[in-house]
Amino acid sequence: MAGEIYNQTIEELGRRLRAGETTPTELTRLYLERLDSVARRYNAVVSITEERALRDAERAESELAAGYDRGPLHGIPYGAKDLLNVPGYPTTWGAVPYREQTFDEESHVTAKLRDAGAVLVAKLGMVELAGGMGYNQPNASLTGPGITPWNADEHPSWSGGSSSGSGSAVAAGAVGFAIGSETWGSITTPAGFCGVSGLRPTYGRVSRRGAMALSWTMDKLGPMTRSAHDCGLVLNAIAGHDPGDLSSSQRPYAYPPATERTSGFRFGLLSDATSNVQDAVRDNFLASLRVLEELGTVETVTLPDLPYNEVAGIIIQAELSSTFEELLTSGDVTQLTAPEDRVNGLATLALPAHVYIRALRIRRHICVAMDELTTRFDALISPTLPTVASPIDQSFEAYFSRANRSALGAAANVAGLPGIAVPNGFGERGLPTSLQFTGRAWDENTVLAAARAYQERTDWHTKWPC
Amino acid sequence: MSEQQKPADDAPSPELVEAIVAQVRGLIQDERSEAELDEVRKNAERHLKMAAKLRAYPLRNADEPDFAFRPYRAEG
Repeated sequence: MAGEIYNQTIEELGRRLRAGETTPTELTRLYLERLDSVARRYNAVVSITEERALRDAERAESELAAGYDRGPLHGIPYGAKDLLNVPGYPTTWGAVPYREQTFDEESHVTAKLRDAGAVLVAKLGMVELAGGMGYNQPNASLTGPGITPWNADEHPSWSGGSSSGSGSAVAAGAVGFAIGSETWGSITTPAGFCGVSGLRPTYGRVSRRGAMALSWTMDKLGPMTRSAHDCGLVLNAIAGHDPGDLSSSQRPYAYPPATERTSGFRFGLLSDATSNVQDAVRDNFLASLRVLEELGTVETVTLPDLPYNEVAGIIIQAELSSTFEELLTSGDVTQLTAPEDRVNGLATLALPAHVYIRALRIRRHICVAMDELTTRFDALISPTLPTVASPIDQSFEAYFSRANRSALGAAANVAGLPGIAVPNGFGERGLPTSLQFTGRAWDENTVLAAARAYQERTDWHTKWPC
Repeated sequence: MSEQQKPADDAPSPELVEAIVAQVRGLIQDERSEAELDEVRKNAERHLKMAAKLRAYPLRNADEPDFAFRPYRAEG
């Protein structure tokens, strides 16, 4: 389905607001209703923030009426993954032991979005503790398994995680955009399985103050939207230095850039991009490649041989053994929803320091190798995921075991590189497939430009499930 | 000279795995079933294999961990 107001991009919604065709309050009420009647079906909602939303919408409305325009997000309703602190509402981290948890201090990102005029309408479902405990099937959240809105009645399938509700709420037209987080795949995976655009910014680009920590040296926050351009608009609002987050960079960021590239791109095609992927994933990627060849050059490359997956795994597990030490040692971890999450984290308590530090030493080699590779290209291109979403009742082990988990995801997250996932077609069970652009550190605008150019020549990002 | 070490065999030593399980049991406050402790064993084995793969990657003495300590001084 396309063309309904709730499925429109931030840019289109903004145009309607400024043309007087709708108002922030009307738009907010529409999304509040869809969150309750549609997004809940996909277990995408933790809390609907109605009171705050209507208050902020009224403010946005009166400001617009008075000629005060805060920019492209002014009056746009959005949802935040439920690991961002919002005073007055629980911040559950998707986990039963924290279901009553509240914080007095607003997260940096929701505060920045409020300053930009955006209207928070919901805190969205997520995999418990952002998936750090090693879940192996979709039912791993206090709100139930995340379901992709695509073909949900006939073939209920996983939304992807851990930013499950952020992906499905955007696809279902229940928010104007959403904020997700990624430690290792948690934005790009639900973006891929829900058929939305999801941007993982460079590590340090967006402050994580007031966000749940899983892995201090790997966690990133980023936008999930209905177009690559929207990702840029949201990133522009949430990026910037914050002394309250030690990882926060002082590098300036602005979107849209002064000059927007539309052609002449240099793409690096990963040599194993289509190995061990589903047929439709391969076919759709090859079709995307033909479009990308119109936009620039494509050169086949191979990732340097480094232990990416092991470095990513050890760093995350060593850090979560500290971030969640009390949960793990107290026995409260047994309250988690997924049985495997009650046990899988325990062994991290005995990870030796020398293993963690060795991983961090190899990390420097990975960062240098990935910079040498990405500096030769505007973006590395690959399928975001080797398959479409798994059936909701299947374990990941059963469904994904034959698929090729590309090392690029681990490499990019260990090196803190930006990447964007955009829809590029449909595969098994009518579910979306996705194309990924991975760029050099701090070059979000380059991968955004490439993804935008791709979306200007295709219409996959205009198709919606409901 | 690099610090590359000999890669461990695929199967980690059972004594080492049991030592990790004992360490975990000593750190947690709740009792776990044998089935759950078997899962801890599997995870410990997985960690040991990952660590072996990292040990197989050559590093020099000068290769620093990728974090930077910054002395703190409050402004003002």
